[in-house]
Parts: sequence; C-alpha cells; structure tokens
Amino acid sequence: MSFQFFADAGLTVPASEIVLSRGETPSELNGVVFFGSNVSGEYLVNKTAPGVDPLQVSIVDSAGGGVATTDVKIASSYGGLSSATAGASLDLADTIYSGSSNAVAVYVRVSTSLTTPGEYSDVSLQVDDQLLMEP
Amino acid sequence: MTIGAFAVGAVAVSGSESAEANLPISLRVRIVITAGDPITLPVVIRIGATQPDAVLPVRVRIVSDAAIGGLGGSGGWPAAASGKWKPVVILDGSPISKLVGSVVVNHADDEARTAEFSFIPDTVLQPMSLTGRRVEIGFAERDDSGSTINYQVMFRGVVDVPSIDLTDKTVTCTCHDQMQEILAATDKTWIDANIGGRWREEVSGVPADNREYAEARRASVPVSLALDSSQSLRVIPWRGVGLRNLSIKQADIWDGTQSIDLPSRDELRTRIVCRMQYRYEQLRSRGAVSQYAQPLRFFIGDTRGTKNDKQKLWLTTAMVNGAIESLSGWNVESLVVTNPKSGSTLVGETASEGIYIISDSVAPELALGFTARLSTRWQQTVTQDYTVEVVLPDLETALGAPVSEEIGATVTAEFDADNWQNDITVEPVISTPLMGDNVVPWQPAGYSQSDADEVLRTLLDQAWVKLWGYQRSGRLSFEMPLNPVVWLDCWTSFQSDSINAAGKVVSVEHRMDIDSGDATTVVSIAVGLPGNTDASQPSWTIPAIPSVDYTRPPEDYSVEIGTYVGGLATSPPFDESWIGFITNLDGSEIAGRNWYDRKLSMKTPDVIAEDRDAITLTASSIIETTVPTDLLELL
Repeated sequence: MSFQFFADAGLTVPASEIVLSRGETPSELNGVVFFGSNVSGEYLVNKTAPGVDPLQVSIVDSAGGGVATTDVKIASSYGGLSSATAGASLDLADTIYSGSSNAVAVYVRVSTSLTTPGEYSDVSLQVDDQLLMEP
Repeated sequence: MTIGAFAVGAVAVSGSESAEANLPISLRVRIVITAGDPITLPVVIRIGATQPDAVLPVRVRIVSDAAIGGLGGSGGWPAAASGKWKPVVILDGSPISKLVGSVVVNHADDEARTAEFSFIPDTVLQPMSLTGRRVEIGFAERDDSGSTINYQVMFRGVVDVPSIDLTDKTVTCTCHDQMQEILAATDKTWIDANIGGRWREEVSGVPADNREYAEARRASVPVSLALDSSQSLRVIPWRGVGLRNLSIKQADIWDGTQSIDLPSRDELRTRIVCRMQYRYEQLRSRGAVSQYAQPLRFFIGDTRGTKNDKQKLWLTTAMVNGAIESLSGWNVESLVVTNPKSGSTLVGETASEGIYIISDSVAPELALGFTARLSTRWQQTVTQDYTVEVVLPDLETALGAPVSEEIGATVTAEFDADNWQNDITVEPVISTPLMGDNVVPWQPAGYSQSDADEVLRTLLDQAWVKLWGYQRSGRLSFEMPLNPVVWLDCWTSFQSDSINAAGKVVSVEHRMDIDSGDATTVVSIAVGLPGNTDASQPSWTIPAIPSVDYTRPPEDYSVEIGTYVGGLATSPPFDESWIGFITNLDGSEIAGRNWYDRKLSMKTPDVIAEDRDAITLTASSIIETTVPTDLLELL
C-alpha cells in the first residue's frame, strides 16, 4: 500500500503503530505520525467525491474498554491539539500527492485516566474511503 | 481547425460615362466552404484503485510510576526494582528467544542510534536475509512469575550488518535507526520549520542531500538532532525549554564510575574570526563632451584696425569625423559640426584688403568647430571584505590569550555578459550622464547586498554556536543501573559526593550483559565553564557597507584640446604629444619656420586606476558576546 502512516516526515519508516508510554499517573501523551506515500507520481482522493470531499483521519475504537475515542485528539499541528475536539475526525486535503514534501503530519494526544500498568491498543487512527490515482 | 473561407471578387468598372450609366454594377460573391476539422474534446476517465483503509493502532503503554521514576537520590533500580530483568529483541515482529552475550544500544547527539545483539537461531536461517530487517530492542522487568512487565523500548531500526561465528553458530547483528536516510528523505520545508537557523550555500556548499542540508542548518543553532525510539526526528535544544529535568545523585549511580574529561587549552576557542567577501562588478558609464570652436576670422584672417592675423588652413568636416572615429573605447552619442556660412566676408576694412568667398558647395566641407557627446562604459570588480571577530572576553581573560579559529565564505555575483564593455547593444543597458559617471552595482537576485548580509549573519550564528560548543566540550560521565528513561533530551542535575554539575545528556549507552546479569546505563553530560548562566543567541549588528573614499579631481574628467599654428615666426617645433587642431598659415611656406602636418588630434580622458582596477573595500569589527555556562564543581 503506497499511502500509509509513517514514523518520520521523510516517509522512510512505515509505522505499524504509534506507541505512547507513561507511568501510572495520568498525564497527556503526545506523538506525531505522517501520512503519505513515497511512491512517486501518485495521489489520493476521497472515493465518495473525488477531489471534492476531503480525506479524513478518524479515531476508531475497535474493542471498547481501555482507551476511549474521546480520550484521543488529533490535529495537523502540535498547537492545534489544544483546541481539537476529543474523538473528532481530522479533515485532510481533498487530494494528497505522494512524496515527502507532501507528507501530512498527524499529531496525536491521548489523555486517558487509565492507571493500571499494561498495554492498550484498542484505539486506532484510520483513513478510509481512499481512491488511489496514478496520473 | 478551419471553419470556412470566403473569397470576394469584383468586376472592374471602366469606360465612358454612358457605359457607367448603362452597365449594372455587379459584385460576385464566391463562397468556398472547406471541409473543417471536427471540434473534438477528449474526455479522459481516470479510474482509481480503491485502497484498503490505512489503519494505525494507537498503543498506550502504561508502566509503573516506579519504573520510570525514582532517581533523585532514591537509589535502587527504578527500571527493575526486583533486580530481575530481561532484554527484549524483536526481529521483524518476532521476539528472539536465544539471545547471548550482550545487547548494547548507543545514543548520541547528532548521530544515528546504534545497537548490537547476538543470538543463536532456533530455526534454519539464511544470514543474508537479516540485512535490513526491522529490529526493536527494549528492556523489561520480570515479575515473580517470570513474566515481563514495565517494558520500555530503547531502539527501533534495521539490521545493518549481520555476522556469524561458525564456532558456536552465533549471529551478531549491528543495527542503526536509519537516521541518515530519514534525514536525507525529509523535506527541506520541514527542516526549515523545525530546525530553524540560517543556511547559505556560500557558507556550507551545495548539500549532497537533505541530511547535509539539515546538518548545515543545525550548525547555526544550538540544537542537536536525534531520532527518538519511534524513529521520529527530534530537534533537541542544548539548554532550556524542551528538555526534561533529571536529578541524579550519588545513590543512583554505580560507585567509582564517575569521571570528568575536560578540554585542553588548545581545544577551547575564545574567538571565531568570520571572514566574508562579497564580490561583484560595478557597471560604470561615463559621459564626456568634446568641444572645439574658432571664429571665422581665425581661418580667413583679420586685418581690421591694427590686427594682422593671417589666413590659416581650414579645419575640415572630414578631419573632425576622422578624429572622432579614432577615439577607441568611446562611443559617439552625437556629433554636431559647425560649418561656416557660405558667402563673402571682408578680410579687412575694405574690399581692397581682400574678400574671402566660401561657396555653397565648399561650406559643408569646412568646420569652425564641433561638439561631440561621447560615452564609454566598463566594469570594475569590487570586493567588500568583512572581518568580524566574535569574542568571549571572559574566557579569553581566563586563558590569558586568544585562541581563535577562522571561518569564511565568499559571495560572488557573476557578470557574464560577453563583450558588454565594448558593445553598447549588449544588455544590461545603463544610462550615461551628459558629463560624469554612472555607477550601477551588478547585484542580481540571490547575490544582493542583503544576501551578502545574510551570509555574514550565517557565519556569525555559526561562530556563536561553535563558541558555545567548544565551551561545553567537557564531559561528565557515570554509570548507573540501566534506565531507559535517560535520553538525549534530559537536562541532568548531578550531585555526587565529589561533584556538583548540571548539563544536557549528550550520549547514553545501555548495556545488557546476559551472561553476567549486569544491566548498565553509561551517561555523559556536557559541561563547560562554570557559572550556570543562560545567554541568548545574539541578533547581530554587522559592519556598515564600506565605501570608496576617493574623490576625483576635475582633470580626471577633461582633456585640453589646443590649437597649434605652424608657419608663424613663433611657431615651435612639432611635438608628438600635441592634442588639438594643428594647422599652418595659408600660403607659401617660409623657409626657416616650423610647418606642421595639418590634422585634428583627439584624446579622451583616461579612466584612472581607482575607477578601473579591482578594488577591495574592507570593514571589520569585534563583537564581544557571552554563551551559556554550566555547573561543574568539585566538592
């Protein structure tokens, strides 16, 4: 899959997950991933209304329990996390071109009241309705 | 595409008036319809491929507060309070079960994170397949049941070089975190926004890739670059906001492991000399007016009253044209020759003294004088040579002598218009005053004065960062029970029985020796001059643009054109250096007198060396500054 999440802005290392760690005492956890493609000459549109509707990153809770979608904020900048609505989707552009110069940063903030040590991976970020175009 | 064409024909109308009245006036209209191309508009339907949803799990890992806390003199082993631990190495998503020897992870400012581990394969393995495979290395505590808890990641990257010991079938993998290739692939826009600083090609050269570009930018700001354990690029300040505070005391470290490595006097720098040369061409033009005039009676003679001026041989229009054309290096903007009027003029008071007649045909060939507007242009190389020394006066006083280093750059605005000097049709065109000079510096976009200023500011920023870098080149190192919390983004307050220090962590090595059971973190923090004071990166005041202080005397712009008449009793011998109209009395030569070859000799003012030769304008200043100091005390 060409368009995916990457760990770095250069779109070099595909991200299989974003790991955010803290101790038991609740505190905000912040991270950033990059959405894009390092395959040249491609672009991505929303298949519902290509080039009109924006692509969207949504927050999905696959299992319930653990971290809730309302514990997660996403924004296109670190500063935007403060005003982002918890659990809300993030609109991207209506067309995203490949290449690191077009990498889209997605900042993530998790504020969960969970205190029990362990790993919680029921929440994920998801970009759906994608249509890959090759000019 | 042709829609149509019409040819219109007409019948000629001629003949008598009656014929006009009788013939009908007709106009044939011929309509030619050509076969036009059809109007087409291709409709391209592009069908995209539906992509599977891009899903990224968000893994929240909660470890006990104790595992990531502690320190501050609390002693013990926060990361593995039970003393039982386990190295975790995950190769392509699968944990390696038979680790042997040591697992080592190294972190250092501005370097790729590296790791090394060894294992015995539990299945048939193709060693070459290991290269490039993804690796995660972590540290975990074991609980009483042997399960791993409080897992903390210390490394993510790829296998770089696998090697095999055939004796015991041990495979050793050296790994790195792909920092170089990640930096090379990172867009410059991201680098500019996140690293900041200044960059100029004249200072750093043409970067081979964006990694070199990022490192060049980093050289002008006090930050370090590293990938965090998620392989995300982090820009870490050397001091202040953005660093985590860490307190480490005697009880937190292994006894006898602390050491200090301080720079020698020669390894410090008290001043950085910044040398910037800005070289460009001055496009210069000069306007000059050449004038010569004589009254009519100079040529035809004058015997009126007591005068006894003899007739002289004429200046001719041809001589003027020839002389003007002979002026090499100068262009004739305009030339006006003043001819005598045709007609007759009394030489003296009465006709008996002679009548001088100039016919209509001869008058244009004779010249009383002329006015020529001349211009020339040339280019002059100018070099602004700046020397700015950035000095730490306190350190210089402490060391007793300056220890300096020079950095520099040259900005050259190339002017490659061939033959511009000699061909006035070659652009760029610059205006030429009627008399005097016009000077236009050739400073195109990218090579302007403000660009040169930016180059100098880049050097100054680099100088300040270098001074701070040298100043903080001391290292305090110690070892402690392995603690993955310690990383390059920690500002460490260190207090042992013998040392009180504070500084940023610049390198961390985690060593997990499976055979001995030792798990150790080796930490180095940057320390330097005492004081523990902050200082901001200056905004520079650069020297004023140096200018020419040479003032030209009037003679630099003029040349005297004289009149020399041969055949007079007082006429001197001919001199080759004469410039002007050289003529003789009209009539038979009188023996014993000096007679000359009649001509008009012209010369233009020389462009003096100060205006033509390359010039260097110097400017210098000394800027005293301060850099942040650290805390390092022996107790």
